[in-house]
Amino acid sequence: MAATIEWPDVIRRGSDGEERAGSPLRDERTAAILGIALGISFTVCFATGLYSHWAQSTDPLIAFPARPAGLYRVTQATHVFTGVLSIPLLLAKLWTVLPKFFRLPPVASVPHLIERVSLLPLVGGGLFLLVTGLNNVAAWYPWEFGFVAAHYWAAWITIGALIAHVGAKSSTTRRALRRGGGDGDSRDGESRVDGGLGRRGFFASIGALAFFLAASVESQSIAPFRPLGLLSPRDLSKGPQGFPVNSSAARRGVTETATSPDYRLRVTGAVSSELSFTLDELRAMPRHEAELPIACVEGWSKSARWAGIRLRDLLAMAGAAERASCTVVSLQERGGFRSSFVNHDHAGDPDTLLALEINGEDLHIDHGFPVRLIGPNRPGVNQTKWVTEVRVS
Amino acid sequence: MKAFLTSDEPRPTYTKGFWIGLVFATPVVAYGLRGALANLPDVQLTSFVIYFVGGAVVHDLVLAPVACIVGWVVLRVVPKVAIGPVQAALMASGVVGLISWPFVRGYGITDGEPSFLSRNYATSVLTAWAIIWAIAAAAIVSRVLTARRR
Repeated sequence: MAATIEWPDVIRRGSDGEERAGSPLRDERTAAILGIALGISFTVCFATGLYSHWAQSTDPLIAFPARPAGLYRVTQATHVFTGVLSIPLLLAKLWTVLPKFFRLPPVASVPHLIERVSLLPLVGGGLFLLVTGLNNVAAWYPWEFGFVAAHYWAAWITIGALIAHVGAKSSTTRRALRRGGGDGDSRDGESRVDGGLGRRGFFASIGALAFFLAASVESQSIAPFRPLGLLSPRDLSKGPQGFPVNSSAARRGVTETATSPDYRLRVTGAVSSELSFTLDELRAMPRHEAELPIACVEGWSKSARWAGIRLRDLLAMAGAAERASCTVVSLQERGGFRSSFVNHDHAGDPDTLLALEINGEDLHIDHGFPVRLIGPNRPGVNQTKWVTEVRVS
Repeated sequence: MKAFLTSDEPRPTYTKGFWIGLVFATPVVAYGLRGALANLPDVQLTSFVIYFVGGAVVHDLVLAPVACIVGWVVLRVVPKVAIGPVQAALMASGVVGLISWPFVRGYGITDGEPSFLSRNYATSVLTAWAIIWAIAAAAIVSRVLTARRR
């Protein structure tokens, strides 16, 4: 018997003219395929996000490895790529299941209630992550919460809701993916509207759009995508010494202290003798060179040839323990990234430097003059600039 | 206007996969909630909740209805042969517009960072839209030619 409550057609059918029964844009097969694509994309994004969080951990017990040197740039480019990829996929998935949101009665059973409640953290969390992540790439923070903490904890909530959703839809998905799909699925994938978008056209459009957008944003670090770089937020050829900066000396308020003749680099903490160096003394020390990338959480990365003093040599001079870790402190007086933890694996790596030069020139002040940290497989925010203290622990 | 809930509407069914998923999902969600609550000074709960719930609300009450209305108009004003390509092009154009908004507005631009948001993103969006509609136009031409051959 038909229900007495009615929705307008535009909501009931989702406005593309597709009747629910037999519609290729509304059926289980389309929802299942989009769901799988989105699930993979979100999971990869979550895993690479966790990796980035781990990279910034200060817990020596879960020390982040220094090798392979370029791994972080790959994982972070993947993180941003899959994040942007997920935006059209999520919107398409929501479009496909839109009529279900207006289903009556809204709750048919206890499991149905649980499933519907779990959609809030899934949909709300998914949109939250994609919006905040995209805004972070564009450095636009219109909210009051700290991006890193909110993005991280929202990711756990969302991935939990995704696990629940995968469980809830496991049998439906299996049925939908069988040859011919489920009972209510379109057999031919053709639109029920004369001339309308069929399943194949819908997937082709969404797939092409998702790839274009993700490649366009990530063209900032993946060279083959450069021709698609309409939305690339970063031009890697621009910046002092032909190298981009994420934060200038003027913005961080260090111009005066970084160029002062009173500048000193101090080695303090768990050492047998604390050390202090002027810039000239640092310049007179043996130098080591390394080709390493700056790889930012926003997804861009670029390599340069750095030259400076090996951190491990400095620690040895001060009499630090063999597997000592340390905290490198900037001249910046404020900001969450004014210091960074260097675990024993990074501190002992031969390519972890307190760099004085980039590509054969003294560091520009926006690149961290007089001294910056550069090490393999580290997030850009942890390649501390304007270093004034190495605090050994 | 027709009744929404008809006798052909299948009642949702739940297998053991649902309960297994729930068993694994609950501690993960709880871990996330606990983490958010344990970091309140940084997470700023009110703002967090507004954005967390707000995304779903904006989608359901703004984006989806707008898409519905646009779709409804397309069915009534666009010739049948062009409906599919126009639907795809509108969808793509809308998503491009949404994603590029923070770039076009350049809210994150700061002095001393010449590499960042250095493009003219309004031109980029117009270019992307031009490409999308050129592809749609080619698809429509292809459909017309195919229809004539039949």
